[in-house]
Amino acid sequence: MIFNRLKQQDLGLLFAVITLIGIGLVVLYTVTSSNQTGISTTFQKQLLYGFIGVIFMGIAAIFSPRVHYTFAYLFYIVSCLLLLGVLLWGDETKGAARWIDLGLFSFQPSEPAKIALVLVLARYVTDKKYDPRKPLHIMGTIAVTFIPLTLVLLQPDLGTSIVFAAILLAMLVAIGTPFSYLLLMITPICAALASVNTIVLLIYIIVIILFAWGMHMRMGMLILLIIANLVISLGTPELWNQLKPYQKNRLISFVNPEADPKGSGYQVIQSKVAIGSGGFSGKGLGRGSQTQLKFLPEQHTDFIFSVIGEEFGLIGATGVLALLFWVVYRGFHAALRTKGKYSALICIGLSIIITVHIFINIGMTIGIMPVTGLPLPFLSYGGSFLWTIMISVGLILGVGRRWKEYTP
Amino acid sequence: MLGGISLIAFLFLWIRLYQLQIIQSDKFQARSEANSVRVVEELPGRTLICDRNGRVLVENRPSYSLSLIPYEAKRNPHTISELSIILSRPQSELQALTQNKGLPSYQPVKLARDIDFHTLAAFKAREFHLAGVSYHFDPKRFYPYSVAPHTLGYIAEISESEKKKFPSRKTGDIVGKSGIERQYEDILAGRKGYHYMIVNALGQITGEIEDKYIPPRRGGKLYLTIDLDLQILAEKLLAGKRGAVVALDPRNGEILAIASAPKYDPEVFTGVLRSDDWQKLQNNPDVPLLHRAIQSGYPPASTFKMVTMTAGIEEGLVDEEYRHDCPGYYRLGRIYHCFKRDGHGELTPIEAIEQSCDAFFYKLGHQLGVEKIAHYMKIFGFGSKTGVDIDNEIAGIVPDKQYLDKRYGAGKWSKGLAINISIGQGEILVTPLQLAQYCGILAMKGLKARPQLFLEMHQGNGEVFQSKPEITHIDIKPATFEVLRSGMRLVLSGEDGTAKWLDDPRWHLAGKTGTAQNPHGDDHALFVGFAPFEDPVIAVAVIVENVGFGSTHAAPIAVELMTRYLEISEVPQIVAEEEPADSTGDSASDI
Repeated sequence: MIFNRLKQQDLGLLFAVITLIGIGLVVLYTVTSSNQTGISTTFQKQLLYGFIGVIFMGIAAIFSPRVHYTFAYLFYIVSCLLLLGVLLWGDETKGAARWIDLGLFSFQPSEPAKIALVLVLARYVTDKKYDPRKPLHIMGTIAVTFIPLTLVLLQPDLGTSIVFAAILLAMLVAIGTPFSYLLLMITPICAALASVNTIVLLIYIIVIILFAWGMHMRMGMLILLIIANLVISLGTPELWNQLKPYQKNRLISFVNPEADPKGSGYQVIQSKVAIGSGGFSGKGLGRGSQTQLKFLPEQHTDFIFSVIGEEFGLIGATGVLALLFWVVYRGFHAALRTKGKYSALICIGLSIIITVHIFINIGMTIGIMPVTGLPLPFLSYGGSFLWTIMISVGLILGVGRRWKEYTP
Repeated sequence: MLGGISLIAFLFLWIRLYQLQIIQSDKFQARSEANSVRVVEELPGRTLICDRNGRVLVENRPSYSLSLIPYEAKRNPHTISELSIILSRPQSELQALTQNKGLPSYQPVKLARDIDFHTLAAFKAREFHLAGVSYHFDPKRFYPYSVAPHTLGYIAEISESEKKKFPSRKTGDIVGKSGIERQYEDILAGRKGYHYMIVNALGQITGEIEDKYIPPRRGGKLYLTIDLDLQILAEKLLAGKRGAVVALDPRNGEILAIASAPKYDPEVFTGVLRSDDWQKLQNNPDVPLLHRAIQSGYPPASTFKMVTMTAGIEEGLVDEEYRHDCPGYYRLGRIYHCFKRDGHGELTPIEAIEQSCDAFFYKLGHQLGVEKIAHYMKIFGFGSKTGVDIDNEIAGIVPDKQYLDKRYGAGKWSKGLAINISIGQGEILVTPLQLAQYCGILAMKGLKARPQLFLEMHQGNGEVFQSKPEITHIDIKPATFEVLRSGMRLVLSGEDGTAKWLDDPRWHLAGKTGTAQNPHGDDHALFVGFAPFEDPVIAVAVIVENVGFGSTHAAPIAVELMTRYLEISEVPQIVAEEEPADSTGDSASDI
């Protein structure tokens, strides 16, 4: 019976996931264990997390989408309460309160909140009354997203809030929100980035206006767009001053990591050196000098991809990238095949979570994204995140194997 | 659409990976190596310096110094406070050392040189808590006999200006600063070896890339021409005086002894030079740092008379028949006194040298004029550097027409100056080394050898370099030398010789005394000499400042040095009673 069950599953996706966790464990073993200290507790913990993660994935796959469709709002409310709780009672590490101590272990409520947001948005927009053309309805999705986003931003956790924003955007695109509304939402963010330089900002505003004009946007919409852009771009310098110094440093060092090579740019430089020096075929497992001599920081968490790049070279990095892409691809594939609108949307949302993590994390290690502290799915050390991703895969599997059924 | 965006995102990541790992791979590989490989120098140990018989004059003693990488100190603030306790120096002082002038912060800075074993042990005990601190072996010179500090020179940390001279050296390296140490820096320093150490991000050494190791080329032994026994004796004889002694082998220019007094303790410059020691040496009125044998100019006084005589004979003014009746003075406009006020009576040229009659040379000088005297001075090597192989040698002064015109204005100087010059007084300045070379030329009848200190270099790998004597012959007739040398022999052997009580029955010695009048104080005593008379093996010049007569203060030093050297080198002694039978025979008949 178990075999029959397994046969129904997306075996390719399962294989990719298990392989990626295996690679993560091997790399973790080489960077944390040595002949002197023996097998590290870090490795043992992650091995345990992996097993638990597989069980969670299985459980998530068992349930029909109908189940979480029903409980989506409940999940969402519980998640928001946990996020509020972590703000009030959480442990502070590195100037950010992200953890809840549950005695046996501690976990980050922002991780399951990602899933909860996907579920609640999917549920909200699949409501029969939802009209993607009504601004009020769009405002609803924004409001739903902004509650957890604000709570996470207050921790402060810039990376996770970017993930939340990405989920919202993906859902709106998937549900068929008119392009002009999307433009109205995205452009202020670009305006914020452009506000660092007055000339850049001016050019940007002109480009936006010409673009909107060319699309024959309605006049009211156009004025709204311009006002939104102006307000945000003028308000950004104020907001900048509100950022924590380490956040500012990370953003600055993203723009120019060599500006402070021993400070916040250090991580990115060392990571680029590690990956670049790996070359085509890498230095070999356990032979990466950047890794083994500890020049590479956070090598078992945020910068684990740098270890892969250094020790396995372009071949290994491409292989890992291909496996990660396969996972995402199967997510979208499930979304396309399923008959339920809600089911499709959660597959898209969950795949977007995985994609955004991959892009931001790997982008950070190769110097095209700022250091935001987002881990790499399946590979980075850490229980809460691994489980979140495993549950996401489980939910995708749950949708995928029911593609013939009529689900919400 | 979203799937498409995801695919593009993945492709974007992959393109960037390709760029880093393939296109820019070389650049990052180099940086990765620079990150983790630290080059550690292995000092070769400086070449030993020996005397001509292999006795070690300068050797090496182990010395340890402590360095700190400023960047590590910044990361670990406790380092400075712990070092402050270990070195018993204030934190502020150490802090100041780490904040250095524009050097990269990962370049180690020397905190302390020549630390004692107690300090080293205290550091070793805490080594693993002090990231970025390391100790190094430094060459420290040790002088078993404490001889010839001026000539051997000293070593110290390289200065900015010296880096141009030695482009392969860098800050913190030790180089020769003076004397032999500077002259032969290239061969004395050997060549550094390099270890390629693997370090981790904390700067701790975790291993070595052994196939990249370059061993140092160790220095061997540098043999100097100096004879330690003679050098010690020379310094002993000059002890408590101011002056200089040079003894050389006239056949090849090898310097057997070269001493300057007062001397200083060479140990002052090893280890850390304390500023009060330096001040004491700098401010001493006797200028102990001055190498008088090559850096001080003296009037040669009567030791110069052989030059005037040479000019006289070569210019045809004097021959064997020439006689001068000395009334005790010479008159030219005014009275020039001979040192013997009641006169020498009638003298042959040889007797004039023997008895050092001033009046004889006054007349000769007057007839010759400054230009002719200057011409012959230059032939004997005066007025230019001898080219000895240590630096800061001075050329001295030859008062030729050009010089006097410059000094007094063209034509404004009296022809009478030649009279003073003829007896080695006045504007003439010569170094003791030039005098010794001059004496060697007289001893060898015209063979002129460049004085040198380098004898042999024995490389660590067994190679041997030998010095070649640089010898020229000066253009003076052999007959002239007969007169000059006979006169010098009579100075010691003649009845009226100015140093006759110093003659040694075992060998025939020859020489010339000199007493230089000095407007600033007592007279300088001088002596030049060579021995044995027949086949000279040593030529000596002695100058003692402000003591009086050359015959009583300089000649005994020179004679003791010459006889000691003849003893050491076992030069055959003459048969007794052969002494009066001199080559000229003149002295006997003149009694």
